[in-house]
Amino acid sequence: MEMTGAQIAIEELKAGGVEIAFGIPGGAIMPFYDDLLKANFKHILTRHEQGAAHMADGYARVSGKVALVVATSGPGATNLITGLLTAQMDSVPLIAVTGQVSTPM
Amino acid sequence: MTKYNWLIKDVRQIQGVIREAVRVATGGRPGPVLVDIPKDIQTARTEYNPQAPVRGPLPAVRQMPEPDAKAIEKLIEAMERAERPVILAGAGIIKAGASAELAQFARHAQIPVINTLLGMGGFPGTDPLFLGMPGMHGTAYANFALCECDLLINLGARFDDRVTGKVSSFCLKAVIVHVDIDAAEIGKRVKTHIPILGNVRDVLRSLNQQVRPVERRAWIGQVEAWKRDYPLQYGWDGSVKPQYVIEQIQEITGGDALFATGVGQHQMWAAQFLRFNEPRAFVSSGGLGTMGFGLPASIGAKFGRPDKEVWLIDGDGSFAMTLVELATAAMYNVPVRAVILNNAFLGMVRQWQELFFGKRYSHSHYPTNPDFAKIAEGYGVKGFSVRDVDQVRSVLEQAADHDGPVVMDFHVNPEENVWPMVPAGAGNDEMQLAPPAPESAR
Repeated sequence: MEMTGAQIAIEELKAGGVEIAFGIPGGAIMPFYDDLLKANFKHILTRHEQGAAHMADGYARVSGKVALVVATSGPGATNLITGLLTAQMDSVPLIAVTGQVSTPM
Repeated sequence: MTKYNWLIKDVRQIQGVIREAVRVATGGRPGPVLVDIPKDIQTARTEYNPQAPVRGPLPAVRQMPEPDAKAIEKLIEAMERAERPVILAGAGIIKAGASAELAQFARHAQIPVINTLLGMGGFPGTDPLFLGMPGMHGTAYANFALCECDLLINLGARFDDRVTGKVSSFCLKAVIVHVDIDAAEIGKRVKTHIPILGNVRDVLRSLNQQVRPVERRAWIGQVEAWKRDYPLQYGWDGSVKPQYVIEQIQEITGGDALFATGVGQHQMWAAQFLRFNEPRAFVSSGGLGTMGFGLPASIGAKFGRPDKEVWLIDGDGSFAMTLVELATAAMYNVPVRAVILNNAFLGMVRQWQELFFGKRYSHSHYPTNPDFAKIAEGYGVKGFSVRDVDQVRSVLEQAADHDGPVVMDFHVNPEENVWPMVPAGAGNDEMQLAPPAPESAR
C-alpha cells in the first residue's frame, strides 16, 4: 500500500505502542499534523513546546509508556531543548518528531 | 541532548527509523530520541508494508546480558560479613519495575533502605526500614547511616553529587557495591568494590533466591534510635510554613496520589515530607533541575494515569516559568491540584545567599509577584489565595473536591530554609541539622 512519509511514521508509532502526542503545529510540520488528524491520533495542543516535552515526560514517568512530542522547525525545535535534556538526564523515554525545511533547500 | 537522533533524507527510511526510535527510547537505560523529518519527506509517498522486516536494534538496546553470577556471589559474601549494611535505591528500581523485588530483599536481609530523589516510591515510605533521602537535603538518619555503614548496596542510582557530597569522604567505612544497567555509570564518581552490570530486577531476583534471612538487632536498633532522635522538623510561629502545607496534603491524600514538583526548596520539602506508597508516583526533575517542569509534567501525569489524583507542589519561581500551560489544563479540563508555596523568592538561591554569601540577596527577590489566583481565574481555572494558616486545610480540601484544575497560592514564610543541609562541596559527615543562628533554632 502506498502511503505518505507522515502516515508511515504515525502507523509505526501506533504499532510501537505510542498512544498520545503533545505538541504545537507550524509550517514545516503541517503535513504530519494533517495525517495525525486523519489517523484520529490523540493529540494535546499545548502553549509552548517546552510544556509539550514536560507533559510527555510526566506521562512517561507515571505510566511507564512513551509519548510523542511534535514541534515545527526552528523555534519549535529549539523550544524543546530544555524538555529533551530534562528527560535525558533523568532517563525518561520520549519520542520527538520535528519538522524540517524540505531537502532541496 | 537526546539518547539518539535521526534526520530523514529519504521517505523509504521512515519505517525503519521510527521503529528503531521507539526501541531506543524505551530500551536499556531509557531516554528521549528525536526524529527530524523534512517537509517534502512528510508528503512523499512510498510503499508501506507493516510486516516488512527492518534492521536490527542498535547496540544500546541489545538485550542486557545476565548479571555476573560471580559478582552476585561476592555481594552475598559481603552481606554475610557486614554488620551495618545499607541499600541506596535509585530510579533504576522504578524503571526496571523492581519495587516488589526490592521490598522482599530488604525485609528478608533486614537492610535499611535510602531512596534517592528520583528513587522515591521505589520502596514504601511507610516501611520501618525506610530512611528517606540522602545527601544535601537528606534526612539526618540517612546521612548518619551512609557515614557509618560497612556495606553500601547501590541499586540503580548514579551517585549524583547531591547524594555523595564530597566524594573523598563518602561512605569511608563501607564496601561499595553498584548495580547499574549502564556500564558508564559504574565507577564514574565513586570507587566501586563490587560492580554488577545488569538489569536491577534480574539482580534482585537472583539475590532473593540465595539470601538467607538474618537478624541485625544492633544495627536496626541504632538506625531506629537515629530516626527517633533526629526526625525531620520545623519551627512553628503562626505563619504558613511550607512543610505544614505539605504535611496537610499528605494527610488529605494518604499519599495515594501522584505528586509533581518544580525545582527548589519546595521540591526538597516535598521529597522530605511526603510518604510515597508506590513507584511512579513522584514526578520531579532531578538531574537537570528544570524549574518550570512541574505544571506541564503534572498535566502529562494526569493523561498517563487518569485514574489517579494529581497534585503539583511548586514554588512561585518555578510556577511562573511555565504557567501558560494553565491554558492547556483549562482547555482539556485536566483536574490538577496546583499548590504554590509562594515565598516571593528564588528560595533555594535565597537560602544559599543567606548561608554562604553573607546574606547578600543578589537578585533573588520577586517583591511584585503577580496574584496567582487571579491569573488562574483569567485562564478559567479555579484560584485560591491563602495567607492565614487556619485556612490551609480547608482550601486544600476544597481543591481536592473540585472537579477541574485549581491553583492554590499559599503565601508562606519567606525565611524558611531547608534542613538538614550538607553545604555544597562538603562531605555528608559535615551535615548541619538546623540553622546556625540561635534565635531561629527549632
